[in-house]
Amino acid sequence: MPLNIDNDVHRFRTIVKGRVRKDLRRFMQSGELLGRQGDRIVSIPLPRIGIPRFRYGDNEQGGVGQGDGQPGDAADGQPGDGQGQAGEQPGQHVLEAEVTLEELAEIMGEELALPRIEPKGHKHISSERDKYTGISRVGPEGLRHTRRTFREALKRQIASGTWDAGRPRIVPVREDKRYRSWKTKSEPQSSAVILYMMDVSGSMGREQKEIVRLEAFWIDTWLQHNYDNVQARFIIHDAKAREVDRDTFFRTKESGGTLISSAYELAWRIIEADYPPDEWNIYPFHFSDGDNWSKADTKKCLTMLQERFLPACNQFSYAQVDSDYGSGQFYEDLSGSFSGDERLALSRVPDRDHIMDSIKELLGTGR
Amino acid sequence: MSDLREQLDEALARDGDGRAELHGPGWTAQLDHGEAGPVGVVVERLRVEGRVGDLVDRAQVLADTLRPAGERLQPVEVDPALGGAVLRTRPDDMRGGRFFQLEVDRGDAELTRQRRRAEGGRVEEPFPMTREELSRVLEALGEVLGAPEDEVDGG
Repeated sequence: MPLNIDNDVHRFRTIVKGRVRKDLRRFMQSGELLGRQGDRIVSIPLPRIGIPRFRYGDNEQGGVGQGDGQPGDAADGQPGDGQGQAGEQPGQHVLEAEVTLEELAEIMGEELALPRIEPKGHKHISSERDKYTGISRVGPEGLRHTRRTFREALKRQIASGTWDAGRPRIVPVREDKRYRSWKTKSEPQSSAVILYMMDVSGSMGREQKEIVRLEAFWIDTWLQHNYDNVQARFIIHDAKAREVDRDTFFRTKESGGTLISSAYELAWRIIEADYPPDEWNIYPFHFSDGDNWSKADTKKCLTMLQERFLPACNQFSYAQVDSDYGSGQFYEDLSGSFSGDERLALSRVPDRDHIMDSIKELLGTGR
Repeated sequence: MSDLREQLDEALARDGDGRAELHGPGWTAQLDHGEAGPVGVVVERLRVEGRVGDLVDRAQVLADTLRPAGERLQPVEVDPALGGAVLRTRPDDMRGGRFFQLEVDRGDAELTRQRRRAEGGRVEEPFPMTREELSRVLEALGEVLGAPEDEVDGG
């Protein structure tokens, strides 16, 4: 029978989840969670979960009180809300509740009605792993369990009366020998790689990059939820592309022009080198304002998508982020060329308010 | 009245097919236009072909000197490797989601007016300009693009 505290904890977690769900859109825009993520735990600020406190008021059993008071007044010694001068007492602390990224992904999935991703059939790898689970009387000498063997020998010697405590010698015979035994466990594994590509050319401002940062975090969280083993690689590009670490990915700004094909070429080289498409679920995500330098380069990108990425990847996602100047032509070029192709997911992100909608557009197919 | 303004008036009067050509020292301009009245003209796009020069310097000088319709421009992308630059109206000076865009490609430059669309993307649209103002824009572009490399100066 569970202890009462378990019920309370469960109830508290339900409340926390409800609050996170309610405020999810706000969290997704603000980046509050990003700065607070630890290893796999996220601290959620919950400023509006009321702390129970004693208040004066009617109750059915009646009671005894002293002094003047109105219904709703805070009980003695507790400050009430109201207008007035700043006080000297410390302010109310914002409560924080810890939830795992796993729970967070679940909440996001429910809120956005995202279908759980089904890894591609032949990429659903089943790995066989040997695990030592017991002790056996037979086995190869290399797996002999010395401690168990000597224990059996000692038991036998004591039982047979050959044990001499004054001259302690243990001599195992064949029947005493014990060996480690193993079982072969079959474990389903599904691995995925996410290739994040971001346009960091001069036209991508701070706000555009922040939007990409937020969106990438949530996409990452969702895919982590769906796969046992997720790797992420980061590519930035203006007219040239280079692979960077996560931190650099979100902080870099260049002033150069935009050649989208440079990023696609590098991404493809990475796939070829490290992620054979028949073994990996591959998810490239490209974020840009869509201002490609030339039509010739756009044509090159379309060819690469058609011939390389779309056949090899689970899904190729492109999100076009608006700046003060709107955004460029690349979105139209893609939607015009691959209309109706489910392998390509497209999304526009005019501002932070649309991050959630964009994620739903990109991940809503469950591929 | 400046020489350039006179040349512009003559070109607009002469070339009735919506395209006027003007010339200056080291540069040639093509003006695609709509209706042209005695005071102003509806500009569709303005293209100036000049001499190849230092792109980074030119982008900065153009940002400092060019003021189409009073809007200040800023270099958004400058890429010497690609040989081009894009300048746009500073966000503070934008009105109704509209901005000027000057695309510089080696020795050439093209000025257009863009409007940010609510549904995403942007659209090019004609813009009215007085003849006086248009001649000043032409003069500024001609000075930078027509000058040999070592004479570009934002002074």
